Amino acid sequence: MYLHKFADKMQKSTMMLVLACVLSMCLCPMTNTVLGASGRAGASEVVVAQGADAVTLDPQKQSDTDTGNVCNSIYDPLLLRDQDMSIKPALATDWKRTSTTEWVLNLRRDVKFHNGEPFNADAVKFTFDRVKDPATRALIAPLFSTILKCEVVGPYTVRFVTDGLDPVFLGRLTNLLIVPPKYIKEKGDDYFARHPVGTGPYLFVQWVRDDRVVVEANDQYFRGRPAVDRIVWKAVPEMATRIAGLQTGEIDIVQSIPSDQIGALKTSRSVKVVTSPCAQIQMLNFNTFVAPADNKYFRLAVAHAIDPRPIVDGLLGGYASVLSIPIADVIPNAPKSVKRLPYDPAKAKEYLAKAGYPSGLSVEMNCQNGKYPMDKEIAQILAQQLSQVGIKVTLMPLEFGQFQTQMRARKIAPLYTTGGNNVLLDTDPQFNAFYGSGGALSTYSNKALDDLIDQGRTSTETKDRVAVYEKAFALLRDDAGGIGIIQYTLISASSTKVSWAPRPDGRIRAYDIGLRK
Amino acid sequence: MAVASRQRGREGHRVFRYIAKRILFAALTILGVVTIVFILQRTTGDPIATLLPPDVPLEEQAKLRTALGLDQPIHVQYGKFLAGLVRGDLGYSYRQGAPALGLVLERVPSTFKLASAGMLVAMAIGMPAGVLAAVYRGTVGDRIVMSLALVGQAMPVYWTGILLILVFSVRLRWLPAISNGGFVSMIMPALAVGAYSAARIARMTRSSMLEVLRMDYVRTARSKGLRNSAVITEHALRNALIPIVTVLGMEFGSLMGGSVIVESVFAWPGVGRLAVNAIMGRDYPVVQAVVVVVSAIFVLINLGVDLTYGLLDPRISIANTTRR
Repeated sequence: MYLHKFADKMQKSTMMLVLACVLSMCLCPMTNTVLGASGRAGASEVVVAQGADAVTLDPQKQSDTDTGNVCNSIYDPLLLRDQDMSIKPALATDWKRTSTTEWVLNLRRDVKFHNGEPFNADAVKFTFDRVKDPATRALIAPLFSTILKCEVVGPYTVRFVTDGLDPVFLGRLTNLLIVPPKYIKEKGDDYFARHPVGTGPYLFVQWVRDDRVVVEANDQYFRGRPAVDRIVWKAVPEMATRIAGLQTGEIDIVQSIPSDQIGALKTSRSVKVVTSPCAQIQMLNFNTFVAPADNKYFRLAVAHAIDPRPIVDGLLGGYASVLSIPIADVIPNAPKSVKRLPYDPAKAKEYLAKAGYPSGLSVEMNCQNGKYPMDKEIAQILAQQLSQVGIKVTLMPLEFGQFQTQMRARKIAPLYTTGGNNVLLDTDPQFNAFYGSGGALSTYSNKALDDLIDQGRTSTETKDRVAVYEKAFALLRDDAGGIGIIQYTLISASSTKVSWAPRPDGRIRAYDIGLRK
Repeated sequence: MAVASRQRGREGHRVFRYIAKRILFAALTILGVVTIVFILQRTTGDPIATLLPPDVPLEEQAKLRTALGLDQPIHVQYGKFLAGLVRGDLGYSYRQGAPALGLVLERVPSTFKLASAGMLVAMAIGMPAGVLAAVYRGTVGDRIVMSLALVGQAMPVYWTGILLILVFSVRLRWLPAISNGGFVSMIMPALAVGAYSAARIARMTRSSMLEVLRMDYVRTARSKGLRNSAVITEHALRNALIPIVTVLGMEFGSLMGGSVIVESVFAWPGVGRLAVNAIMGRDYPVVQAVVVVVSAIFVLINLGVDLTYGLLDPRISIANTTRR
């Protein structure tokens, strides 16, 4: 009674009110229009679509590429990697190793943060100490595990002290984006993560979570004003939508396009497809702690039984290359002279007989599923090739987290394909992680190889280190500890109004984006 | 007057007791759901594997695990979670470093907009179609409407979304492919969401209307000489609404949980995308916060639907419900 009496009086008007509210909610824009310098007529804007939004704008609390790209438009590192992956000065002008464990860097004197705060040695020390402080929970902290401390030598000079000789030291510093001490102390971490202030080529304007980050050109930038007035980092999870956005002109740059989806773009007049070799690879590894992968002859049989060429030419449409060794050739100190074992099914059968399996065997194989382009399909082709020599493979794809957990616990199948990347663009971290006896992801152990890994850490000279890694990869090949399959080609597309090229490290540097005249 | 007033007071008291009881049960339901999620997600693998590059040394991984409290036994983690839940603190996102509850709540308005627009589309298409199919039962029109409803339910939302983009954005250039927060960019996501729900609503409206149209009071209304339109809208439809409102409530609740696929296809920044990213990245606090918020919304919508029954049909009263 109570309810329907009320209803009689209120029903129609309430329903109308609710409807009006819903409609007005739907009609009102989700956010305020951004007004800034580029609101001027004729100001240029480039929209870069990525698969995910930035997770934070605090550069020390992120570790993914999409967030890193956004942060690199707002902040600067001390050193940076050029298009050819060589290390170049950024906020540091020059650097010198003064002893086995010490590096001294001189800093630029003409740089200020976007809020006017001066950039100096104190800012560098604050940044480093903040990364190392466990309370910060900095996701990039592991990249600096070998650096013990940062000391202020002068207003524009700092000294870093490492734990023993660290040949990857300079590469590590390319990931240290400098943050403003005074601003963070005044505003706090949470505010800073949403209202970032750096020294970088672009100033932060707006962040709509899961939608876009807008930045505008920094007129005072020390390397010169960027060519584009405004960059919009747009989060578009679906690749099909990103491609449609390129075709309609709503998006200007898209990266990591699957090879089977570029057909439509190739015919478009307003879009150009650009490619670059990259550090992403696929390899076939062995869990040498379990049978039959503990048998060297079995591993050699596998090595001779697989042929990556059909994967490159067929599955990936030519957008990849055959790997000689399980590391990408874009890594500056990766050896280039070591060749892979040839595809030779007859020899594979011989080794299989030597291993004690003259009539073949059945074996389990794990692979990742969707973490890297076509990873499961690559494993399927390899399984099919192995069956040709009598190795009957039961393929078991695993979700990435499960895959990692199994690998770390050394409970993964005797055979497994895995993707690999190289954040520091140096051979040592990746090689040790996958093949060193104590490597985080290693299912292989070889004392002679461990000695070579240690030897590779005794010099900072690229030439010396490459010579050591040549021996190490040759040893790995001859023992069939791990097999390189393919190196991916990074496929990107941009609108014809934009002048931009993809980089081997897969990063998108906002400052490198230009406009065609 | 005094007796009537006392009676009204007792009715009101019953309504509030009913609502309080429902909310208590809802809280227990949410606790149950979030407990299951809390345990299940910890069986899926290690969040550190998705937070750090794979080649990071083991000791560095251990440091982060300690910092995030993941090295503690599961019952200790659960105890801390419950203590936080009572205070309204659902922890900090591992990946975003921000309060998990805040991350969810700031996306709710966006999801509400999409869900509301989708429901408007669904109701605008589904209800008239269902009524027409029932009134003209067995005709060609009925078959066409029901066939379209079948197609609408069979079409994957992902496919509908991509098809809409290809036609209206890439081919015709009428609508933007990607959300920019404005009204125009909401048309296609609302259509994609609404098409699926419209099909379900049309089918439910038709069957409910067919049942009501056979009733004696409809025959009586017709024999009184009322116009057919009046009989259908004022007598039949109102009485057929209860199952339809139930479906509407369920549909709206599901949409408020995030239309994951539509949000991804149209780059719509809602709860669904946050949930998927959190699940993929094993961001436990965010997953838990999403579950708490979405469960609460779902339960509240259901409560609202139950209360609406009384508005639609005076024979249904809370007093009867509580006595039963």
